[in-house]
Amino acid sequence: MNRLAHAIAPLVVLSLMAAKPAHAEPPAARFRPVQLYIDSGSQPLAAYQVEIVVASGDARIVGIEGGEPPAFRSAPYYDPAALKGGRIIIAAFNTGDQLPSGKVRVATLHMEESGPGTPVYQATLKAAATSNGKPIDARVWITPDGSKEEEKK
Amino acid sequence: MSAPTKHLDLLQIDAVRVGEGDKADLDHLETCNECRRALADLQGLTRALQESHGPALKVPDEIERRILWNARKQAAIAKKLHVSNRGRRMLVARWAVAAGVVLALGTLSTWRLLRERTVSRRMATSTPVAKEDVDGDGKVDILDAFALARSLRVGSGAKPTWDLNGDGVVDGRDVDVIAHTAVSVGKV
Repeated sequence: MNRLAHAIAPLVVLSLMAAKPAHAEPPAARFRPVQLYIDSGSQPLAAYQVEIVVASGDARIVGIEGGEPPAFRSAPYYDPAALKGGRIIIAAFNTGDQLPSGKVRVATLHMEESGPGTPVYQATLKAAATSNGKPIDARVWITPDGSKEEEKK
Repeated sequence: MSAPTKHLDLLQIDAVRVGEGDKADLDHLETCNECRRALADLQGLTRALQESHGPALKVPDEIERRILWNARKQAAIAKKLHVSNRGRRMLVARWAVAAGVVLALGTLSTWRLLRERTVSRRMATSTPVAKEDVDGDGKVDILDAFALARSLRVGSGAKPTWDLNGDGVVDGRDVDVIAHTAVSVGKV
């Protein structure tokens, strides 16, 4: 009996060592740009304010830059305290005459994503106005690069 | 002094012709060539009729007077009725105008009352109204910064209360203060 136990013990130890991972690797963080669009229809877009939140998943905002049209090419206003968090409010305006209308890419957010799965982002339009300051109805949406929505464009 | 514009009617002229005209009618005839001409025509017609046909039947003076009296009475009633109808129409029109004015004033005052109540309710629900609330909509957002920037651009008199950074001037730095307040994540 003792001889049998001595024979099995090394096998048990070896099998336990094989089952235990040598080193638990955390999932690698990845960076992804997220595009923010506003569609102001036929009205020139002069000002906007949008709230963006990470609705689900593990992600944080690490950078903000301006959009495509010259009127909104500069980085929008934002609270630096919101960086590294999952909620931010961005806003911009332009008092010039060269204002875009229709579908406009107004800003790009740089996100650091980690964890399994793809985070979901949500954008809510808080305010938008045309050149005379009058509030307008506009549509806002957010499109992470490489997403299906991005591929559709 | 100009001649009166209201002329005598045919019955009044005929009354004058037969010597029964009022003093006012006689006075009028003295100043009105047209009525005098009408009287002369009527007298001429009477003479012509008498000359061509002669008095076929002598109407007693009393009956003639009664006929004339009745004719004048009927004319007076007709005139009164006409005036009365015109007066009634004028009265109805005046009442309609008055009712319209009252209705318009009522609508205006109701609208103003409702508007004042809405504004005061909005002011009450959006307390406290921040200095940054340039457009006065009860909240501070980018539209306030935009409003101030537009105001500065066109030079349309910036209010001293918009000197938000307290440097003594209202300029782009105050616009930035509003914009930063608007995007602060500390705000709800």
